[in-house]
Amino acid sequence: MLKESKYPYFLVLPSLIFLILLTIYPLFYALYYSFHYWVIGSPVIFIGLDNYYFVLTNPLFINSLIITLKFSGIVVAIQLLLGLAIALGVSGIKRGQGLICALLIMPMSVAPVIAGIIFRYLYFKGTGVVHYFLSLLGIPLPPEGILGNPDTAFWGLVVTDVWEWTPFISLIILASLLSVPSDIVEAARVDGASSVKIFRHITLPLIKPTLFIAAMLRFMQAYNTFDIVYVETGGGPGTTTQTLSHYLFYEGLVYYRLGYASALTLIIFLIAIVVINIYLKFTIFRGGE
Amino acid sequence: MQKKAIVAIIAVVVIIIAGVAAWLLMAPPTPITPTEKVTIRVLALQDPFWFPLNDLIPEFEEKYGIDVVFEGVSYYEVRLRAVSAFLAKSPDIDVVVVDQMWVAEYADAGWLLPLDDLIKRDREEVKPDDFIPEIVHALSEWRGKIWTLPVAAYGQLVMYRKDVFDELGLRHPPKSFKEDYEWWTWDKYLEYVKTIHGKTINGVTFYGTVEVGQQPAPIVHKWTQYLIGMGGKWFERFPEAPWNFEVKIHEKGKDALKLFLELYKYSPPESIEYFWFDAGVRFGKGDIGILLWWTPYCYLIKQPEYMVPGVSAVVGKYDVALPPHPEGWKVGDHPIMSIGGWSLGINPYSKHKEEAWKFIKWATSFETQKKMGLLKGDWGEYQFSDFVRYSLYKDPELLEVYPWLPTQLEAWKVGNGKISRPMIPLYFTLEGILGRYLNDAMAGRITVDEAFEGILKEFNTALKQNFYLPEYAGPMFDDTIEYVADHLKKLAKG
Repeated sequence: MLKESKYPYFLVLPSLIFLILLTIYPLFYALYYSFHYWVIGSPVIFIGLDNYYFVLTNPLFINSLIITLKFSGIVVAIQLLLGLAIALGVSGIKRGQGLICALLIMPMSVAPVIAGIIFRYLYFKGTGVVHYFLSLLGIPLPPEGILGNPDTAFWGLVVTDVWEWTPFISLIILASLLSVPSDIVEAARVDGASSVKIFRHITLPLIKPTLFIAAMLRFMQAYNTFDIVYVETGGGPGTTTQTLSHYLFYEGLVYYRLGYASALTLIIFLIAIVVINIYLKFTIFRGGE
Repeated sequence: MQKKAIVAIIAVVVIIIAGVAAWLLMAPPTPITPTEKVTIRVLALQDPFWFPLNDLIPEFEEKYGIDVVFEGVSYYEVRLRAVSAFLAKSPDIDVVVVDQMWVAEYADAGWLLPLDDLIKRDREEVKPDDFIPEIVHALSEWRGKIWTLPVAAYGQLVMYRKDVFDELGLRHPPKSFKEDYEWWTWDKYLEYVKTIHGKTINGVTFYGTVEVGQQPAPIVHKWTQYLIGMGGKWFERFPEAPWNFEVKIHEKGKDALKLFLELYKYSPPESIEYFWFDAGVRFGKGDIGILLWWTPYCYLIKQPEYMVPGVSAVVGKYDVALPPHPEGWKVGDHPIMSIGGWSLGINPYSKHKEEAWKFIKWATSFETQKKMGLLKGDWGEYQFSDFVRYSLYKDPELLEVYPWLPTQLEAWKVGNGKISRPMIPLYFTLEGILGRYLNDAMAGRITVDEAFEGILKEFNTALKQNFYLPEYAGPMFDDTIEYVADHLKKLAKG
């Protein structure tokens, strides 16, 4: 249990005020309009729970939810594994660790929308570098191009996201690895434990909380993926890459169906809260730790 | 204890300073510094008209003593910024560029100043009867009033490789309805595409055509040309009154989609991902036989990339012709060409409405539009033939630079922008539905029948939820091109 102290609450107070103004107020505003028919330019009419019904029975919403959960789960899993591998490799390097960390930060410093544009051109058939090298390796590629084919467009986005955010995970894990007490590791080595056993029984349990937090943070970001979808596929082909955020963008800021979009926002928000709470219950807060 | 308190206070102060600094540093739009001179902000996007007009802004500023902040942003940002300003009743934007489908929405919401009285007052300068009625009908008029003035009008014409046609012995398509045009049907168009496809000429293996598949807007723009080209429509009756929004898009829509999918077989497969300019760039690369697309591409295909100086592979090798039509169609039957484009409107919350009106009159005048057409800017080429006035189509200097102008002028007569893409506030929702299903069909995930089953179901749901069905309850107007032509003449007479 944490020791009772006034200071942590005092320190987070400014951020809390900021959050209340920028989050709670708009949330209640959205809640109010979620019970209304409101399309830009038209009168606002109270319609009760109709918007929620329209959202939950809309196949587009179900499709976007599945795509989003699938995308988030896959990218987080890949990034955790790759990130861990990279962190383990870097932690074993004696010289040049700082330079490698600086290089690792580079993909993260590119704005996601720019990364999306770059990858769109890399995937282009005929002129794209990725397409070119994959075809040199004899890998069969769809004639429509990677982003033009319903089976490969999703994976094109996965690769973009993994490229951009694996360094983020690896740096978090690296920091945790470097804080593992070296004397425990040394003691285990002296006792004859192999590297695999040391990792499995000492390192991994110690960095597990960090892994859980990194996964949760990345999941929250991936759940909200919009930018790379917008610039790379537009949610297509068809709706094969339409995430919840992309769907919400169109409903709220293109079609200006604000009542419907308000209900959609709240449903997306509730789903995120439920998923994260379940995750926290079975991971970080498991056993009251 | 005391040390902890000091650390806590310092931390709080740092957080507050950081928050305030972030707020101050957030980049606002370019501020308009109050001076004695009036400064107006024009919100536009970087479509081709923006570039030459931007180069001419100093002339306007010198002539009228009004400073102009002429912004060119992305498509969705124009709409987002404009709607945000309107909702906030902000005077931040004085003149806003309006896409064809936004006029109804903005006008119904009270976000545009009606221009009829201003046009009438300044009729000697505006010359309203010089505007092409089909263009004003499509881009500027709603419920009988004129809300904007068109600045760049787009039709859809055929661009074809005349050298390839000659090599294969194909008859050149008609440039005028005064010549023999009856043979230029959709069947013939498809036949030509198939004939060209796969042929190797001068070492280049050709695709018959190039399609555009990116959803939602680009693919809908392409497909609705086929829809109207086959005599199709979205609703039972619109824009003529009484409006009846019973969905009819499937009647000719299925044929239009079948044609579209057939043409896609003779296109580069990756064109399923193409945005508007990708198709033009591809034609410019020199391996496409025929392109049916928006009229700005008549000049854009001369460049290697959008607004990039240089010469494409098709300069001197292509020509422009009328769009195809259904078998047995004659001029005066239903329209066969989609009309789109951009117009300029006044923000009703602007504090400089008179200055904004001066800008609109200037930007849409014969003199300015001619200069735009004859300007060679950084992009290195003549870059604007999207003219909105009759007089521009007769100017000898412009005809020399843009030899397709007579074809373009004739094509307006067979165009109707409100049939190909109905200008109703719900348009974007319906476009989104169409875009998804069309793209899905293009990707081979659904059949034509499945696509239209989905389109009809979602269209009907959206129309019912938004009170267009079962019966439209809002005010109607008998919105015809004849009305607009007559209205412009009346405004010209005063």
